[in-house]
Amino acid sequence: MTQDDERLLVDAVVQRGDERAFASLYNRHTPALYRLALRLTGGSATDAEDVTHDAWVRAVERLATFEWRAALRTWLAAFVIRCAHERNRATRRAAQAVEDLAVGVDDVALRGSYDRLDLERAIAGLADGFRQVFVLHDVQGYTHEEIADLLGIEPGTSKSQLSRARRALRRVLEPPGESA
Amino acid sequence: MSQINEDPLNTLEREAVVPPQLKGRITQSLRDLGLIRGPTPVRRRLWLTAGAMAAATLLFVTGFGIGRRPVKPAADTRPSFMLLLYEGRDFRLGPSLAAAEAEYDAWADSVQQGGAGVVGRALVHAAQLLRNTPQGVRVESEDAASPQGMIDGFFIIRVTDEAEAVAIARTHPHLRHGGWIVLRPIKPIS
Repeated sequence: MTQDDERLLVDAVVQRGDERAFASLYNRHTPALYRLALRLTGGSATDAEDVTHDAWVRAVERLATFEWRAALRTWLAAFVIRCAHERNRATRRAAQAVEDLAVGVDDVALRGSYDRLDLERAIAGLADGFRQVFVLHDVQGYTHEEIADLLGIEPGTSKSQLSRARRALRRVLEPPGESA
Repeated sequence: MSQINEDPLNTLEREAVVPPQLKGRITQSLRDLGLIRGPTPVRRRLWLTAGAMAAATLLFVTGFGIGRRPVKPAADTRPSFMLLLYEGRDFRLGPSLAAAEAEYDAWADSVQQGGAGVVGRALVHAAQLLRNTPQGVRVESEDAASPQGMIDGFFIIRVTDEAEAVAIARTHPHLRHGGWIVLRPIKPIS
Protein backbone atom coordinates (compact mmCIF):
# COMPACT_ATOMS: atom_id res chain seq x y z
CA MET A 1 0.00 0.00 0.00
CA THR A 2 1.43 3.35 -1.01
CA GLN A 3 1.14 6.64 0.84
CA ASP A 4 -1.37 7.70 -1.82
CA ASP A 5 -3.53 4.72 -0.88
CA GLU A 6 -3.22 5.69 2.77
CA ARG A 7 -4.33 9.22 1.96
CA LEU A 8 -7.43 7.84 0.28
CA LEU A 9 -8.21 5.71 3.29
CA VAL A 10 -7.66 8.61 5.68
CA ASP A 11 -9.87 10.84 3.53
CA ALA A 12 -12.57 8.16 3.51
CA VAL A 13 -12.51 7.96 7.30
CA VAL A 14 -12.46 11.73 7.79
CA GLN A 15 -15.06 12.62 5.18
CA ARG A 16 -17.45 9.67 5.34
CA GLY A 17 -16.58 7.83 8.53
CA ASP A 18 -15.90 4.85 6.30
CA GLU A 19 -15.50 1.85 8.61
CA ARG A 20 -13.96 -0.29 5.91
CA ALA A 21 -11.27 2.30 5.30
CA PHE A 22 -10.58 2.48 9.02
CA ALA A 23 -10.28 -1.30 9.14
CA SER A 24 -7.62 -1.16 6.44
CA LEU A 25 -5.65 1.43 8.39
CA TYR A 26 -6.08 -0.61 11.56
CA ASN A 27 -4.84 -3.80 9.93
CA ARG A 28 -1.83 -2.05 8.51
CA HIS A 29 -0.62 -0.21 11.59
CA THR A 30 -1.92 -1.90 14.71
CA PRO A 31 0.62 -4.73 15.02
CA ALA A 32 3.46 -2.20 15.24
CA LEU A 33 1.49 0.16 17.48
CA TYR A 34 0.52 -2.65 19.83
CA ARG A 35 4.12 -3.86 20.07
CA LEU A 36 5.17 -0.33 20.89
CA ALA A 37 2.46 -0.05 23.54
CA LEU A 38 3.50 -3.37 25.02
CA ARG A 39 7.09 -2.21 25.40
CA LEU A 40 6.14 1.18 26.78
CA THR A 41 3.84 -0.29 29.40
CA GLY A 42 6.46 -2.71 30.65
CA GLY A 43 5.01 -5.80 28.99
CA SER A 44 1.48 -5.63 30.38
CA ALA A 45 -0.89 -7.00 27.71
CA THR A 46 -3.90 -5.44 29.42
CA ASP A 47 -2.31 -2.00 29.58
CA ALA A 48 -1.02 -2.31 26.03
CA GLU A 49 -4.48 -3.12 24.75
CA ASP A 50 -5.98 -0.15 26.58
CA VAL A 51 -3.23 2.13 25.35
CA THR A 52 -3.65 1.01 21.75
CA HIS A 53 -7.40 1.47 22.04
CA ASP A 54 -7.10 4.97 23.48
CA ALA A 55 -4.43 5.93 20.97
CA TRP A 56 -6.55 4.91 18.00
CA VAL A 57 -9.61 6.71 19.32
CA ARG A 58 -7.67 9.92 19.91
CA ALA A 59 -5.93 9.62 16.56
CA VAL A 60 -9.18 9.17 14.63
CA GLU A 61 -10.66 12.13 16.50
CA ARG A 62 -7.79 14.25 15.20
CA LEU A 63 -7.28 12.55 11.86
CA ALA A 64 -8.54 15.58 9.94
CA THR A 65 -5.64 17.60 11.34
CA PHE A 66 -2.96 15.20 10.09
CA GLU A 67 -0.88 17.09 7.54
CA TRP A 68 1.29 14.26 6.15
CA ARG A 69 4.53 15.96 7.16
CA ALA A 70 5.54 12.68 8.79
CA ALA A 71 4.64 9.09 8.04
CA LEU A 72 1.18 8.18 9.27
CA ARG A 73 2.61 5.45 11.49
CA THR A 74 4.95 7.91 13.16
CA TRP A 75 2.02 10.23 13.81
CA LEU A 76 0.00 7.35 15.24
CA ALA A 77 2.94 6.25 17.37
CA ALA A 78 2.92 9.64 19.06
CA PHE A 79 -0.57 8.90 20.38
CA VAL A 80 0.59 5.54 21.69
CA ILE A 81 3.52 7.18 23.46
CA ARG A 82 1.28 9.82 25.01
CA CYS A 83 -1.33 7.33 26.16
CA ALA A 84 1.31 4.97 27.53
CA HIS A 85 2.95 7.80 29.40
CA GLU A 86 -0.35 8.80 30.97
CA ARG A 87 -1.13 5.24 31.93
CA ASN A 88 2.30 4.64 33.39
CA ARG A 89 2.03 7.78 35.41
CA ALA A 90 -1.37 6.71 36.67
CA THR A 91 -0.30 3.22 37.61
CA ARG A 92 3.14 4.27 38.87
CA ARG A 93 4.58 1.41 36.91
CA ALA A 94 7.88 3.21 36.71
CA ALA A 95 8.27 3.40 40.46
CA GLN A 96 11.13 0.93 40.44
CA ALA A 97 13.26 2.98 38.15
CA VAL A 98 16.83 1.89 37.69
CA GLU A 99 18.05 5.33 36.75
CA ASP A 100 20.59 5.37 39.56
CA LEU A 101 22.27 2.31 38.14
CA ALA A 102 23.26 4.12 34.98
CA VAL A 103 26.80 4.70 36.04
CA GLY A 104 30.11 3.43 34.75
CA VAL A 105 28.99 0.94 32.14
CA ASP A 106 29.74 1.04 28.44
CA ASP A 107 27.21 2.83 26.26
CA VAL A 108 26.80 0.39 23.42
CA ALA A 109 23.85 -1.49 21.94
CA LEU A 110 23.04 -4.62 23.85
CA ARG A 111 24.85 -7.65 22.48
CA GLY A 112 25.40 -11.08 23.79
CA SER A 113 23.20 -13.71 25.36
CA TYR A 114 20.48 -12.67 27.76
CA ASP A 115 17.45 -14.43 29.02
CA ARG A 116 14.49 -12.83 27.34
CA LEU A 117 12.50 -12.57 30.52
CA ASP A 118 15.39 -10.84 32.25
CA LEU A 119 15.53 -8.39 29.40
CA GLU A 120 11.78 -7.81 29.54
CA ARG A 121 11.97 -7.13 33.26
CA ALA A 122 14.95 -4.85 32.86
CA ILE A 123 13.20 -2.76 30.21
CA ALA A 124 10.04 -2.65 32.30
CA GLY A 125 12.12 -1.37 35.20
CA LEU A 126 13.51 1.58 33.31
CA ALA A 127 12.24 5.01 34.18
CA ASP A 128 9.49 6.13 31.83
CA GLY A 129 11.63 8.59 29.87
CA PHE A 130 14.46 6.09 29.46
CA ARG A 131 12.11 3.35 28.41
CA GLN A 132 10.42 5.54 25.80
CA VAL A 133 13.67 6.45 24.10
CA PHE A 134 15.17 2.97 24.40
CA VAL A 135 12.09 1.26 22.98
CA LEU A 136 11.66 3.77 20.20
CA HIS A 137 15.31 3.69 19.15
CA ASP A 138 16.65 0.23 19.87
CA VAL A 139 13.45 -1.80 19.53
CA GLN A 140 11.31 0.14 17.08
CA GLY A 141 14.12 1.61 15.00
CA TYR A 142 13.19 5.29 15.11
CA THR A 143 15.95 7.84 14.61
CA HIS A 144 16.85 10.39 17.26
CA GLU A 145 15.34 13.10 15.08
CA GLU A 146 12.06 11.19 14.85
CA ILE A 147 12.07 10.51 18.56
CA ALA A 148 12.67 14.18 19.22
CA ASP A 149 9.59 15.02 17.16
CA LEU A 150 7.50 12.35 18.85
CA LEU A 151 8.43 13.27 22.40
CA GLY A 152 8.89 17.00 21.97
CA ILE A 153 12.53 16.92 23.04
CA GLU A 154 15.86 17.77 21.43
CA PRO A 155 17.69 15.05 19.46
CA GLY A 156 20.61 15.48 21.85
CA THR A 157 18.33 14.71 24.77
CA SER A 158 17.15 11.59 23.00
CA LYS A 159 20.76 10.48 22.55
CA SER A 160 21.68 11.06 26.16
CA GLN A 161 18.52 9.33 27.39
CA LEU A 162 19.33 6.34 25.20
CA SER A 163 22.88 6.27 26.47
CA ARG A 164 21.73 6.26 30.08
CA ALA A 165 19.04 3.67 29.37
CA ARG A 166 21.57 1.32 27.80
CA ARG A 167 23.94 1.75 30.70
CA ALA A 168 21.16 1.04 33.13
CA LEU A 169 20.12 -2.07 31.28
CA ARG A 170 23.66 -3.31 31.00
CA ARG A 171 24.17 -2.74 34.67
CA VAL A 172 21.07 -4.80 35.48
CA LEU A 173 21.73 -7.55 32.97
CA GLU A 174 25.45 -7.85 33.61
CA PRO A 175 26.23 -7.79 37.31
CA PRO A 176 29.72 -6.57 38.31
CA GLY A 177 32.44 -8.93 37.17
CA GLU A 178 30.45 -10.31 34.24
CA SER A 179 30.78 -7.35 31.87
CA ALA A 180 32.75 -7.97 28.68
CA MET B 1 13.71 -20.37 28.78
CA SER B 2 14.62 -18.65 25.59
CA GLN B 3 18.17 -17.48 25.28
CA ILE B 4 18.97 -14.63 22.94
CA ASN B 5 22.07 -14.59 20.83
CA GLU B 6 23.62 -11.63 19.05
CA ASP B 7 20.95 -8.92 19.10
CA PRO B 8 18.67 -9.64 22.05
CA LEU B 9 16.15 -7.08 20.85
CA ASN B 10 15.20 -9.12 17.80
CA THR B 11 13.16 -11.50 19.90
CA LEU B 12 11.23 -8.74 21.60
CA GLU B 13 9.87 -7.57 18.27
CA ARG B 14 8.42 -10.93 17.35
CA GLU B 15 6.70 -11.74 20.58
CA ALA B 16 3.54 -9.66 20.57
CA VAL B 17 0.32 -10.75 18.89
CA VAL B 18 -2.47 -8.21 18.75
CA PRO B 19 -5.40 -9.39 20.90
CA PRO B 20 -8.17 -10.43 18.50
CA GLN B 21 -10.83 -8.55 20.44
CA LEU B 22 -9.02 -5.23 20.16
CA LYS B 23 -10.29 -4.34 16.71
CA GLY B 24 -13.89 -4.83 17.80
CA ARG B 25 -13.34 -2.69 20.90
CA ILE B 26 -11.85 0.18 18.96
CA THR B 27 -14.40 -0.05 16.17
CA GLN B 28 -17.26 0.05 18.67
CA SER B 29 -15.75 3.04 20.48
CA LEU B 30 -15.36 4.93 17.22
CA ARG B 31 -18.94 4.08 16.26
CA ASP B 32 -20.19 5.27 19.64
CA LEU B 33 -18.38 8.55 19.12
CA GLY B 34 -19.84 8.88 15.63
CA LEU B 35 -16.39 8.86 14.05
CA ILE B 36 -17.04 5.88 11.80
CA ARG B 37 -20.15 4.25 10.46
CA GLY B 38 -20.89 0.67 9.56
CA PRO B 39 -21.89 -0.39 6.07
CA THR B 40 -24.66 1.76 4.66
CA PRO B 41 -27.57 0.31 2.68
CA VAL B 42 -25.84 1.46 -0.48
CA ARG B 43 -22.61 -0.33 0.43
CA ARG B 44 -24.45 -3.49 1.34
CA ARG B 45 -25.63 -3.57 -2.26
CA LEU B 46 -22.06 -3.35 -3.52
CA TRP B 47 -21.45 -5.65 -6.42
CA LEU B 48 -24.92 -7.11 -6.05
CA THR B 49 -26.54 -6.91 -9.45
CA ALA B 50 -30.26 -6.60 -9.65
CA GLY B 51 -32.77 -8.88 -11.31
CA ALA B 52 -33.89 -12.44 -11.45
CA MET B 53 -30.44 -13.80 -12.19
CA ALA B 54 -29.03 -12.40 -8.98
CA ALA B 55 -31.99 -13.65 -7.01
CA ALA B 56 -31.58 -17.11 -8.46
CA THR B 57 -27.87 -17.07 -7.68
CA LEU B 58 -28.51 -15.90 -4.12
CA LEU B 59 -30.83 -18.83 -3.70
CA PHE B 60 -28.03 -21.04 -4.87
CA VAL B 61 -25.56 -19.41 -2.51
CA THR B 62 -27.92 -19.95 0.40
CA GLY B 63 -28.07 -23.61 -0.46
CA PHE B 64 -24.32 -23.78 -0.70
CA GLY B 65 -23.86 -22.06 2.62
CA ILE B 66 -26.03 -24.43 4.60
CA GLY B 67 -24.66 -27.63 3.17
CA ARG B 68 -27.18 -30.40 2.64
CA ARG B 69 -30.29 -28.51 3.60
CA PRO B 70 -32.78 -29.02 0.76
CA VAL B 71 -33.12 -25.91 -1.33
CA LYS B 72 -35.26 -25.58 -4.36
CA PRO B 73 -32.81 -25.49 -7.28
CA ALA B 74 -32.53 -22.27 -9.21
CA ALA B 75 -33.72 -22.30 -12.79
CA ASP B 76 -30.20 -21.69 -14.10
CA THR B 77 -28.33 -25.00 -14.05
CA ARG B 78 -25.07 -23.79 -15.57
CA PRO B 79 -21.92 -24.50 -13.53
CA SER B 80 -20.91 -21.88 -11.01
CA PHE B 81 -17.46 -20.57 -10.19
CA MET B 82 -16.21 -18.48 -7.32
CA LEU B 83 -13.73 -15.66 -7.82
CA LEU B 84 -11.83 -14.89 -4.62
CA LEU B 85 -10.26 -11.46 -4.80
CA TYR B 86 -6.99 -11.18 -2.93
CA GLU B 87 -5.17 -7.98 -2.05
CA GLY B 88 -1.58 -8.86 -2.89
CA ARG B 89 1.51 -6.86 -2.06
CA ASP B 90 1.26 -4.84 -5.25
CA PHE B 91 -2.38 -3.93 -4.82
CA ARG B 92 -3.20 -0.29 -5.52
CA LEU B 93 -6.58 1.06 -4.62
CA GLY B 94 -6.91 3.58 -7.45
CA PRO B 95 -8.19 7.13 -7.29
CA SER B 96 -10.72 6.48 -4.52
CA LEU B 97 -12.67 3.79 -2.72
CA ALA B 98 -15.88 4.96 -4.32
CA ALA B 99 -14.31 4.80 -7.78
CA ALA B 100 -13.10 1.27 -7.17
CA GLU B 101 -16.53 0.19 -5.97
CA ALA B 102 -18.14 1.74 -9.02
CA GLU B 103 -15.61 0.04 -11.25
CA TYR B 104 -16.33 -3.37 -9.76
CA ASP B 105 -20.07 -2.78 -10.01
CA ALA B 106 -19.67 -1.83 -13.65
CA TRP B 107 -17.72 -5.02 -14.28
CA ALA B 108 -20.51 -7.09 -12.71
CA ASP B 109 -23.10 -5.28 -14.81
CA SER B 110 -21.14 -5.91 -18.00
CA VAL B 111 -20.74 -9.60 -17.16
CA GLN B 112 -24.44 -9.92 -16.55
CA GLN B 113 -25.27 -8.11 -19.76
CA GLY B 114 -23.04 -10.64 -21.52
CA GLY B 115 -25.35 -13.41 -20.37
CA ALA B 116 -23.55 -14.77 -17.34
CA GLY B 117 -25.09 -14.80 -13.90
CA VAL B 118 -23.12 -12.85 -11.34
CA VAL B 119 -23.35 -11.94 -7.70
CA GLY B 120 -20.66 -10.62 -5.40
CA ARG B 121 -19.91 -8.91 -2.16
CA ALA B 122 -17.10 -6.90 -0.71
CA LEU B 123 -15.66 -8.12 2.57
CA VAL B 124 -14.84 -5.86 5.51
CA HIS B 125 -11.20 -5.95 6.54
CA ALA B 126 -11.86 -7.53 9.89
CA ALA B 127 -10.71 -11.11 10.04
CA GLN B 128 -9.86 -13.66 12.67
CA LEU B 129 -7.98 -16.85 12.02
CA LEU B 130 -9.14 -19.84 14.07
CA ARG B 131 -7.15 -23.03 14.23
CA ASN B 132 -6.97 -26.04 16.44
CA THR B 133 -3.87 -26.46 18.56
CA PRO B 134 -2.92 -28.90 21.31
CA GLN B 135 -3.95 -26.16 23.76
CA GLY B 136 -7.38 -25.76 22.14
CA VAL B 137 -8.80 -23.51 19.47
CA ARG B 138 -6.60 -20.48 18.97
CA VAL B 139 -7.98 -17.23 17.61
CA GLU B 140 -5.59 -14.78 16.02
CA SER B 141 -6.03 -11.55 14.16
CA GLU B 142 -5.77 -12.19 10.46
CA ASP B 143 -3.07 -9.63 9.80
CA ALA B 144 -0.82 -11.43 12.26
CA ALA B 145 -1.49 -14.86 10.88
CA SER B 146 -2.38 -14.93 7.20
CA PRO B 147 0.53 -15.36 4.82
CA GLN B 148 -1.68 -15.06 1.75
CA GLY B 149 -2.97 -11.57 2.17
CA MET B 150 -6.39 -10.08 2.69
CA ILE B 151 -9.42 -11.26 0.71
CA ASP B 152 -11.24 -8.12 -0.46
CA GLY B 153 -14.37 -9.84 -1.70
CA PHE B 154 -15.81 -12.49 -3.94
CA PHE B 155 -17.96 -13.03 -6.98
CA ILE B 156 -19.90 -16.07 -8.04
CA ILE B 157 -20.56 -16.41 -11.73
CA ARG B 158 -22.73 -18.84 -13.67
CA VAL B 159 -21.29 -19.63 -17.06
CA THR B 160 -21.18 -22.37 -19.67
CA ASP B 161 -17.86 -23.88 -18.68
CA GLU B 162 -14.48 -23.24 -17.04
CA ALA B 163 -13.02 -21.65 -20.16
CA GLU B 164 -15.72 -18.98 -20.10
CA ALA B 165 -15.17 -18.48 -16.39
CA VAL B 166 -11.46 -17.89 -16.94
CA ALA B 167 -12.18 -15.53 -19.83
CA ILE B 168 -14.53 -13.48 -17.64
CA ALA B 169 -12.17 -13.50 -14.65
CA ARG B 170 -9.36 -12.16 -16.85
CA THR B 171 -11.36 -8.98 -17.40
CA HIS B 172 -11.88 -8.22 -13.72
CA PRO B 173 -10.54 -4.78 -12.72
CA HIS B 174 -9.06 -6.23 -9.54
CA LEU B 175 -6.19 -7.58 -11.65
CA ARG B 176 -5.46 -4.13 -13.05
CA HIS B 177 -5.19 -2.83 -9.48
CA GLY B 178 -2.45 -5.36 -8.78
CA GLY B 179 -4.64 -7.80 -6.88
CA TRP B 180 -4.99 -11.44 -7.77
CA ILE B 181 -7.89 -13.79 -8.20
CA VAL B 182 -8.40 -17.42 -7.29
CA LEU B 183 -11.04 -19.03 -9.49
CA ARG B 184 -12.65 -22.19 -8.18
CA PRO B 185 -15.56 -24.32 -9.41
CA ILE B 186 -18.38 -24.64 -6.92
CA LYS B 187 -19.52 -28.18 -6.32
CA PRO B 188 -23.10 -28.59 -7.53
CA ILE B 189 -25.78 -29.53 -5.05
CA SER B 190 -26.54 -33.19 -5.54
